[in-house]
Formats: sequence, structure tokens, C-alpha cells
Amino acid sequence: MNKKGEYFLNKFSFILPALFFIGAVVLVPIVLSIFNSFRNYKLTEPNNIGFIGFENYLEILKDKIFLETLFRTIELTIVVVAIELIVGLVIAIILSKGFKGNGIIRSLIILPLAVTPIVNGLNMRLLFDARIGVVSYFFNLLNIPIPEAMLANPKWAFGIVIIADVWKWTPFMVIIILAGILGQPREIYEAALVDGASMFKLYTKITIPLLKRVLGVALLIRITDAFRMFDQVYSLTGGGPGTSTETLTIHIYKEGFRYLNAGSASSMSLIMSVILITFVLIMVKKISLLGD
Amino acid sequence: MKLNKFLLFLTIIIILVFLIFELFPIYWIIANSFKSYKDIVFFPPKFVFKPTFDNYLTAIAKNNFLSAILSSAIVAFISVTIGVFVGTMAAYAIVRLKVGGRKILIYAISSRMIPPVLLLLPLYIIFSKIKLIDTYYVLIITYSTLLLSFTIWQMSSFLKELPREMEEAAIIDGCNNWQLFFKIILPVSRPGLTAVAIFSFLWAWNDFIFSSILTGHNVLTAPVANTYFIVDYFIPWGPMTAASTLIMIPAFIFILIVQKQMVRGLTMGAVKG
Repeated sequence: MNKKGEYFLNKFSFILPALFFIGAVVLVPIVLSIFNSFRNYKLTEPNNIGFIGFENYLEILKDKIFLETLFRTIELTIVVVAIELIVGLVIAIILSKGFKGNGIIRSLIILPLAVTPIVNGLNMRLLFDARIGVVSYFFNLLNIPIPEAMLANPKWAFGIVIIADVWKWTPFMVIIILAGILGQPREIYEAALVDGASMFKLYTKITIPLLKRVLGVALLIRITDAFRMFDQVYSLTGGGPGTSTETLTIHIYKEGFRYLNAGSASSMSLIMSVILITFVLIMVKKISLLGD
Repeated sequence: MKLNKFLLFLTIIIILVFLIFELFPIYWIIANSFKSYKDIVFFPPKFVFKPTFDNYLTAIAKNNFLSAILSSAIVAFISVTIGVFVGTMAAYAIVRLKVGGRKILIYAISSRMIPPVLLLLPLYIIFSKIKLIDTYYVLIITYSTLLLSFTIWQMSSFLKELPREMEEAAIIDGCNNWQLFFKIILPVSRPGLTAVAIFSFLWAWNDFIFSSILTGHNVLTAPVANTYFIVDYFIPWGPMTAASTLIMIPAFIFILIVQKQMVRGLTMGAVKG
């Protein structure tokens, strides 16, 4: 082999293993998904598969349940991320003051981030249980009327799904925003205080605008994760009662592995991916994630 | 002055409510895992009770939960080793050897955000064809690959910040890329590698969606085994909370170890902590 060839082999051999794995486990499945999305593919009838063009897609766009699920997932994403952002901002601003016990609080609040999502869902089930749930006990103590079986009530079940996500992911917002605040230059604050700015003005005019990039990154990650929410809802409500808490991922998971419609499940997950990737590319550009 | 006192009071209340909201559910799982069946179903809920280890014994003896924990640990450990090693090699190629560059990084970030269901069905079909379903291989191959994007992203931001003097000296001494990688890059990046490995481990340890489809009774992972406690509408809360506690404790220990690198880990290095 000549010298140049050797050089290139040497250079690329570092990236080849990664490309091999990615090709086999990510790229091939994506191509296969696209291929299957144009086929009449049922896992129960592997010998009766034909190309049907865009029929799967047309069918989905007419499917009321799919569209409902899509909008529910968008609604869920917006609500949980908004709550997490606002609560996260407030807590991070308080913790940035640095007082006694601050370090312990910071160690304690990251614990939910490590909790297995499946466990999170099951635990919410225990907390909100109709018979033995500690939440209904507290509500009774405070004389707040609540339905007897909260998880059997579509509206409340949706609320509990929101609580489960807010519980697990608000700490994420807190520590990222906190890192952002602590990374800001002190001088700006001192100058503003000398000028006689009020606390409220300080935060709305300086702290938050300076956090733009940090908030952008945190939102990008949280929005894409929330939009794909699965485990904790699956173990909490399983998408029920009815389909009232089904997220897109649960819907597609059931379509593929319970009803075994590989064709339409593939086209649904492709629609979902296109929405996600478009959003990611826009956000990455907006917050210049990759630097200049 | 009066306003300040009020504000202080308000902040204390907010922090306290937040702490209770975040910590009570964790306390409640652990507390219930030590309750007898009678105490669990007792209403109003008992906050003081006589602790018992029965639930752990049931989860381990009857539900064979330790073997699920072991499967999860084996799969996570091997996947992380492969994923982090292969990913660091790729990061080295991108940052130092200028292969691929931005395009690979864009790939890495978009693949972290791909919906798992897009890959799940074709993976199931492919792995059934080559008869790997319900083996350790299928999870190790899948997890290692899905961990790559995280490792590549993190390690390339880490490697960019390493001083180059040592590498330059090694090149003058006649080291080739491989020697450079094994003798200098890997040892020097140990702090970064540890953090990436622990975050990767947490992800693999907690995954449910892939292991629920790609493996079954032979390789039952802990999160999947945990859902097996649910039989129709009856949930044996005692053994279930005991099993949950067994999954959570290692995860807690790991996340406290990487607490200092948390922010970088969670944002793929995009925000410095």
C-alpha cells in the first residue's frame, strides 16, 4: 500500500467502528422504516405484503385518533415544559443567592433525575391510588373535593401525567438555569445596582436575557424529550382511561406491537420524526448550538 | 425592611414546598418497601410503622428480581464499555484528525432526538430474522449504538479543550495515531470519560422501551421486570416498591458521583457547569 493510502486508512479507522454501528442500528432501520411505510405490512401476515404507495399516510391523516394523539402530545409538551421552565427559573434564582444548606438542597433535588421513568409512573400510581393513595388523604385533610378514582377520570389522569413529568424534570431546569446564572459576570449586576435598578428589573432585564442560550439548550432538550414521552406514562396509565393520556410514542408502540400494523406504525413514526427533526434543526440554528 | 422580611419568608416557603414535592415521592417508595401488606393498604396512610424486610424477600425469592438486576447490570456495563470506547475514538477522529467534522456532530445531535419507535420496529424485524431476539447481544448492540451520539458529542467538546502540547511532543517522538490515542488521549481524558460512562450507564440502566420489545424472559431487565408486578388491576405494592428501591439506589449513587459534571452531562456539553 502506498503512503497516502496508509495515512487515510489510519485516519478513518478511528471513525469506522462508530460508522459501522450507526449504519447497522440507526441508518438501516430508518431506511427500512421508510420502505415499510409504503407497504401494506402486517406482522401477522408476512407473506401478504404489497406496495400501496402513500395509502398509509393518507389513512393516518384521516385518522381522528392519530390526529387527536398528535395534538394531545403537543399540548402535553407545551404544558409540562412551560411549568418546568417557570418553576425552574424561580428555584434557580433563589438557589443562586447562596445560603446555608444550599449544597445539600442541590444534591437532594437531582435525585429525581436518576429515578427510572418506569418507577416514576408506578410510584405516581401508588400516590394517587383510589383506595390507599396518600394524595387523596391529603386532599381530604384540606377538605378539597376530588373524584374518588382520579386515574379513572380522563381529565385528572392527564393532570397526573403532567405532574409525573414536572416532578422528574423540573430539577433538570433548575440545575441548568442555576449553572447559567452562576456563570454570568458579576460586574453587570453591580453596575445595575449602583444605577438603582429594582430586584424585579434586575431579573427581567439582565438575568433572563443573559440566559438566552442556556434556556435555548434546556428547552431544546426538554421539548424533544417530552414530545417522545413514553415510559412513565406507560407504567402510570398505559395511555388510558380509553386513549385519554396516550402520547404519540404510546400510540405508535401499540399500533406496531399490539395491533401489529408495521406499515402504518412506520408511517406514523416517520411523521413524528419529521416534526421533531424540523424543530431540532430550527432550534440548533436559532441558539447557534454548534458555535460559529 | 418589612418587604425584605416578607420576601425571605416567601423564598423559604417556596423552597420548602419544592423540596417536599420532589423528595416525598422518593421517601414514599422506600417507606412502602419496608411496610407489611397490612400497613400498606391501611387508610389513612401510615407514616410510623414497624419495618419489615418481607417485601425484599418476596421480590427476590418469588419474583426473581435479583436476576433482573444482574441482567440490567451486565447489559449496561458492556454497552457502556463499547459505546464509550468507540464513541471516544470517533470524537478523537473528528476533533484531532478532522474527519467528518460538523456533519457528524449534527448527526449526533439529531440522532439523540430521534423517536425510539422509529428504530424499534425495524430492529425487531431485523433481529428476529437473524434470531438474536431475547439475547444479551441484541440489547448490547442497540444500546452501544444509541450511546454513541452522546459520547461523541460530549467527548468532542472535552477533547477540544485539552492542551495539545503533550500530543505534539508525542508526535515528535514518533508516536502514531494509535499510540497517541491509547497512551495519551485515553489516560488524559479519564475525568471526562468517567462522567460520560456514568451518564451512559444511567441511561442504559433505566431504559424500558427497547428492552420491553427486543428481549423477553431470557434477558429480563429490571425496569421491564418491575412492570411484571402489575397483573390486571391488582398491584402487589410491597414487592413492587422493594424492586423499585433496588433499581433506584445504584442510580442515586451514580448520579451523586457525577454531580459536579451534571450540567455538562445533561446538556451534552452545550452548557458549562
